[in-house]
Amino acid sequence: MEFPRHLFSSGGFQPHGFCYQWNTGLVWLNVLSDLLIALAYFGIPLILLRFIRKRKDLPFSWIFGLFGVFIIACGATHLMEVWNLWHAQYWLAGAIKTVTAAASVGTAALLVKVVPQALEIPSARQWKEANEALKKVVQEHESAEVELRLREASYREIAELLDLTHDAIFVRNLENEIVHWNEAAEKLYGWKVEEVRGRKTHDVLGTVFPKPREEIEATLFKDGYWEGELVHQLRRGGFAIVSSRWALRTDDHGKPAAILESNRDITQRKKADDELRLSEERFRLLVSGVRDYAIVTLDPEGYVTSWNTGAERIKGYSAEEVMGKHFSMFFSEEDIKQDKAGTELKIAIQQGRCEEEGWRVRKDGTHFWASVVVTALHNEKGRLYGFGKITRDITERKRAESALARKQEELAGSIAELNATNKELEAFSYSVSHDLRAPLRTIDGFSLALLEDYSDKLDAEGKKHLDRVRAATQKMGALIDDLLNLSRVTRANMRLEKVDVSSAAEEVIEELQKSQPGRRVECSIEKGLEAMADSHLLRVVLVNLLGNAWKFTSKRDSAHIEFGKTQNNGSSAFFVRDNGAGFDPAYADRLFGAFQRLHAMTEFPGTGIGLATVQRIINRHGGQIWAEGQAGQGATFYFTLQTVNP
Amino acid sequence: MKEKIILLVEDNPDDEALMVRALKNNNILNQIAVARDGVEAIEYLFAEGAYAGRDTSVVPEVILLDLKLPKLDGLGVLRRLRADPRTKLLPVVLLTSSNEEEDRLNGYGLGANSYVRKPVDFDQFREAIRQLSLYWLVWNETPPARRI
Repeated sequence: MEFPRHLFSSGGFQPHGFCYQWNTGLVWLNVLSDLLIALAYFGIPLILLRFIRKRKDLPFSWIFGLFGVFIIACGATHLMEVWNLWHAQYWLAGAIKTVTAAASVGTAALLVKVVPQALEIPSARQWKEANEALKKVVQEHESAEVELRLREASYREIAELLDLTHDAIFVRNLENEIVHWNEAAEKLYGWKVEEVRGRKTHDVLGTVFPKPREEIEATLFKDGYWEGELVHQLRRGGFAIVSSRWALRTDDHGKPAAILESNRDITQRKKADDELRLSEERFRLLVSGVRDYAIVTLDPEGYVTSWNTGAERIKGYSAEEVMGKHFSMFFSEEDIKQDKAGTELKIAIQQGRCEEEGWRVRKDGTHFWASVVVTALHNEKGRLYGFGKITRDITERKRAESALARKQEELAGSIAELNATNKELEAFSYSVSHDLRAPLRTIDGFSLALLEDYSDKLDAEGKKHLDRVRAATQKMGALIDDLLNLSRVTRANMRLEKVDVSSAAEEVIEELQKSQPGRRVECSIEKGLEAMADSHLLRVVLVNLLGNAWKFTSKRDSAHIEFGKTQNNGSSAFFVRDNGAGFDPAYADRLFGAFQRLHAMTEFPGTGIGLATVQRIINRHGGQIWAEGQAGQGATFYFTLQTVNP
Repeated sequence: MKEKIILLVEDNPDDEALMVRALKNNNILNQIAVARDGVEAIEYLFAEGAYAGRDTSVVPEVILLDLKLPKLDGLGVLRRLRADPRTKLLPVVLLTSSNEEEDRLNGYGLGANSYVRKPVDFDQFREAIRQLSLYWLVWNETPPARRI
């Protein structure tokens, strides 16, 4: 073939400069331009090579190789242009152009294929943007993590803090499920936090709401806050009244996230409050209902602040008429002039209370005698906040007291008179005891002197007369003694004590037996009888009653005396019973009169004063005495005394 | 040996006569001095007034003293006697009609040695006087004499 042979030969062609007619300017213009292009074309691949070497991560790096080859080939063609100005090796130039063409076409073809792929490779700006975005994401992520950690720490801290408070605090989510509750809640409700977490609050606590729950929640979501009183069931039974505060927690976007509920147990306080309220209510009702006392409160200046039914009734004003008026309006004009009302308050302040009695004026102008107690009322700090005033209408009592005072005066007069009379009586008794007996002794003594010294001058009749004189004298002496005894039992001081009546009766019987040892009397005395009495006077009673029984059974063959106690008309009475002479019941009322006798002196001696004395003693003991009997069939004397309380 | 005197203080002449009779009946023949009221009794005992110059070495063995007396009553006399060291220990028997508890209490309280109530019955009176005299004049030993 011709081509390979002529490749390095000029083949007879004119050099290219010839075409330029060897115009120097034109030749050098082409030479310099082609040389510069060739220099640039050889330089570019070097730069690319360096770039590829540095950026090993470049995708499609082989394309840069292709570019390099294609550009070097281009450079070579331009170098050949310079060469062929003087050498006409056009075959070589054509060959180099062919290589260049091949590289160009190949590169172009490959580019067509690669461009769509290369288009997908982000641009540097895009890369940068993407990078920045990524960085931002990472940063955000990191800060969120930090925040989360911080938040978790603060949650723990808050939870620990929550455990410190005495209030039961819990967090629930919007489904009302418990998320957390503190120790106080555990303590109050009895459930551990692990046991309630995730459970519905109001199921666990059986909450009783003061109003429909929907309303409460509406308020919560509207205001972010609600407070009120709830009743919660406790695990151990029973319930707690709590003062509850709900707060709505929102997330960063302001959306509701959870509900914080803080409950303070006020059961005890509530109970105390209720009791206090109840007691205050009761007290108020009591005060307002009281009719017999005017119960009024005044402010520190004396103006009426409360007015009860009693005040209305006693003073005649209704509450509306006096509320806010000064209480001096209830005083008489004269008392108002003397500022008695002010004085009352002053005394109450100084001494805590002021008690007095005096005339007060009703609405209708009538007066009543009032007993007033004004009490100064102080608060806890000791500051006077008013007065309590209780007034009673004691007009009736006042009248009664005046009447009583008059009666007492009269009585005092009477007593003085009586005392004087008693004194006289005592003097009289003394005189009787002393002076009346002396003549009797004279009569008896000289009668006996006559009988002894002048017996020879007296006949039997005369002596008999003198005997009668002496007997009468001695009877008179006995009468005087009995009368003195009677007056003595009336005057004697009484000293009540527990007396063994049975023993006293036994002693009296023993003495009677000693005085007449010859008599046989069957005596039965009930044992263990006691009474409240003056022992000396009771003995006088027994001496007389048993003595009478002894005397009036003297004519019986089998005398019988009984002492005991019996029930009579529901009350118990002592009795002395005998089977002696008895008495005619027709004269029973005369038995106890002084000097009254139902038997002839010759039959049974006596002064007729004994039973009068007994009756007087029993009366002085506050008891009663009575007798039952029939003539010839014995008698029973009953008497009552205060019994000893068991 | 000095004669044993009885001093009777009695305002009632009847009682005085009966007393003398009772003493005689009982063969008590001692001298009986009689004072008819309390003042006279005091004057006799202390040799004053009408009795000034009386031999005070003659001291009664016993004084029979009535309670109810003119001028100064029996208790008044007793009080005076007991207040004076010379008569403080002199035996005094209250012989009276009264049986008042008050009188008995006061009598013993003022230092009477005995209290005897005069019975109305003269037989009993005489017996009482017999026993009294026997006791005070025979059996009783008086305290050592003091000069009045």
